[in-house]
Amino acid sequence: MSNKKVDIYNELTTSGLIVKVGVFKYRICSPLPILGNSISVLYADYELSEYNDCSGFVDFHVLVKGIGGCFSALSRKAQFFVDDQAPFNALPKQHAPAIIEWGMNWCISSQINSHLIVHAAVIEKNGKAAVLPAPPGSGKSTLTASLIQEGWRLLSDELTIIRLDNYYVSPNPRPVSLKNESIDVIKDKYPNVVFGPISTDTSKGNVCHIKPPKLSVINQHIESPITWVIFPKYQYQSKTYLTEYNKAKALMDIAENSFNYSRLGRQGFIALRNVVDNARCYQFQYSDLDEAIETFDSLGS
Amino acid sequence: MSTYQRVSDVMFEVWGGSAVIYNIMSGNTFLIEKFPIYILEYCLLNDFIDIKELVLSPDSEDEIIDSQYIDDILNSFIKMGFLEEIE
Repeated sequence: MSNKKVDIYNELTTSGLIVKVGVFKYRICSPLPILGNSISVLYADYELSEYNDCSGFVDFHVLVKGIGGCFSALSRKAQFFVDDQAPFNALPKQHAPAIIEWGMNWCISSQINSHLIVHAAVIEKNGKAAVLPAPPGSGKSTLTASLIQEGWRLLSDELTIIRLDNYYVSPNPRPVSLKNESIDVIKDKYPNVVFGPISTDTSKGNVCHIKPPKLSVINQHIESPITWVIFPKYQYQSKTYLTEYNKAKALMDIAENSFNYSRLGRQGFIALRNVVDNARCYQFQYSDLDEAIETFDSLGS
Repeated sequence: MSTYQRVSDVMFEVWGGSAVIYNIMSGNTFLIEKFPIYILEYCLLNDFIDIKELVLSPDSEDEIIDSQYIDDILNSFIKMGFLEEIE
């Protein structure tokens, strides 16, 4: 890890701040102070460097800047760019902290084919990883945010990155995205968790990211075999159920949640077949976070 | 009775009574449930499929196999792009 103290605001506004997350390096540029604040808080534990000092290949060159005004500082909207292309519409400038996180996810989910990429959280304990594939609204991030405060290591909140040679998870521990009620749930339960700026009234409602535990960031080079594939579903007032799930159906569901399964062709099928074959697959329904934590701990012990 | 020819290379995996089949040529993946696995293996591992062999298969004694049932299965496989009828 670089020992040199990096002036985050200065690098963001000049040649670019290099952030290393797992196997990927991002060069981030932005003149927006709100983004500087967010990155200073959420990425304080990461390996950061100045672009001019950076050796080796940078995977993604990203920029978030104001648009629509005569001067960037006066603009009301912000737009995400990667390699000078803008894949999304501009959004209100106060959403910049969310825009950068969504954009960084998009870089991996749309451009990486060296690994199988699945829309799933992934956490690890005692050298065993649990992959949690789920569509939005299933309580995946709330559960993940809670479990990583309870001793599970965060490998990713959003994108499970699976190697194609040994089917291990390559960690990508970025800030965990919470939405709407989940923000207060985690704030109340874990008062010491560090929150970034809140983006209100986004297309997903209120969005706020939390800083990952320092150990998850420090250990982001440690890959992990997949021991469990668990499909979580938050159901209001539900009891906690963990039930074995048919592996063939699990494979189909993971494929459905994958960004590049089809693009990888035969390699994608082989990877998923091996993942599912070597893992225990479950469906998990919950409403009580404490019971959910207990259930996961009984798996991980 | 018709004969069928396998027209796609496939990979498949069976877990319990379910199977997942990947059609290498089309890139499509199929979930097959509640299905006699020996029929699946016979159809996907042989180049030519003879219905007589399927109906008379010694492995089929525990199953209620009639030619209409076999026809339905083979038609499904045709739709999935695994087989075509050749006579």
